[in-house]
Amino acid sequence: MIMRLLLAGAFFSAALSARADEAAVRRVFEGKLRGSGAIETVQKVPWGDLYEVVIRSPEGPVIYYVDGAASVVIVGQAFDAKSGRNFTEERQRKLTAVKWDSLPLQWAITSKRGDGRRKIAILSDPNCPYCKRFEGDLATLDDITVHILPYAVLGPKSTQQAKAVWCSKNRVQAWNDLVQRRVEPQAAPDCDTPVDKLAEYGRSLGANSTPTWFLESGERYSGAMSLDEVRPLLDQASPAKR
Amino acid sequence: MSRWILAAALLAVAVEVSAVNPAELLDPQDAFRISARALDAHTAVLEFRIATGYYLYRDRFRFETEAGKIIANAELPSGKVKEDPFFGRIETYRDYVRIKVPLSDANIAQKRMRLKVISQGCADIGVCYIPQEQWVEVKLDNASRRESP
Repeated sequence: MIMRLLLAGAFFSAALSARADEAAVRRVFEGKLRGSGAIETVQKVPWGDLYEVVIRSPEGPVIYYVDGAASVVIVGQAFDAKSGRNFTEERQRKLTAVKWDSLPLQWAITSKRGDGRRKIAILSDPNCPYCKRFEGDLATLDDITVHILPYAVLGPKSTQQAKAVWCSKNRVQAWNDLVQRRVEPQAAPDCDTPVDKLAEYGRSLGANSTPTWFLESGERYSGAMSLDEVRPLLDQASPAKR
Repeated sequence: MSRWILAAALLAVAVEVSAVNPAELLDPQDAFRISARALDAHTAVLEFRIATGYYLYRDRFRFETEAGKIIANAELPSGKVKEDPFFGRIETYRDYVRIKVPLSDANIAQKRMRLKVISQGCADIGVCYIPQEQWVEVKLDNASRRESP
């Protein structure tokens, strides 16, 4: 097992005692964050004599490692030397995961095909070309429930369009017409919509890009992943029930 | 801020991308690095260094003064034009873009300009970022020193 260090100059030496505890590790960070984040957790890693420090920043969680003496800070990713498992990435994904049940699906535009067993929720902007591609690809899958959370963040036009879709009689059709066929929604954007609340919600999760999506496991991903990549993830997160 | 705090923000740069996930995607401020300086007594220059595989939309730039007034006469160079059957005519910048912003009389009097720059871009791996707001400050003393060594 090794620490693979990806950045030169990432070491910081603080003259502290030879054998540290969590409080000492905490002190390494305190006073240096200057409002850019807060310490969320400090704990020993299960795979070596290091502490993991998670800083909650506006962009989401950031992982640091600190040696057992609290004298060296390591910025980088830890891999299992044998299996190549990326410990840091696994932790990062756990840290950015949400509880599926906590997602505001009452604000979603939901469509179901087949038995609907595979579930995905997507923060999607109507003017994001990759959202169009991703949703278009997902539309070719059977046995799936797709929850579109209209995340109108790319510009004022997006907000207006998303609200008009929400105010349409058939939201699924109005959304697909807009996103896939560039047919503008005809409804007036003047009903009670969750569009502004969703923009706030997404920002609170640090979702600074679209599409950002969640599997039933709560794991979070960004970007228009290919169907070949996303299909096994969907199957894994939403296994067939017997 | 400590250098290692910054280093962690840059961490994603060094990670090999195999699939897209939040841990691997660059933060917008790292994908689109901004800097500003005075060009001459009347003009400031903004430069964006854009990471490979990332791009900015020309028509999404906006510039505001500290008081929130929109600066309409910034000079944006032509971008790479794509006629998209879906989204229409799209002009984008890759790698590097240099934008000239005229200084106001107030800027010149105060020998400084503070500017809010709003930009929006995407990454080829399949995401678009929400618009990014960045503040830049240009001190005009440096420019005059540079002009008259």
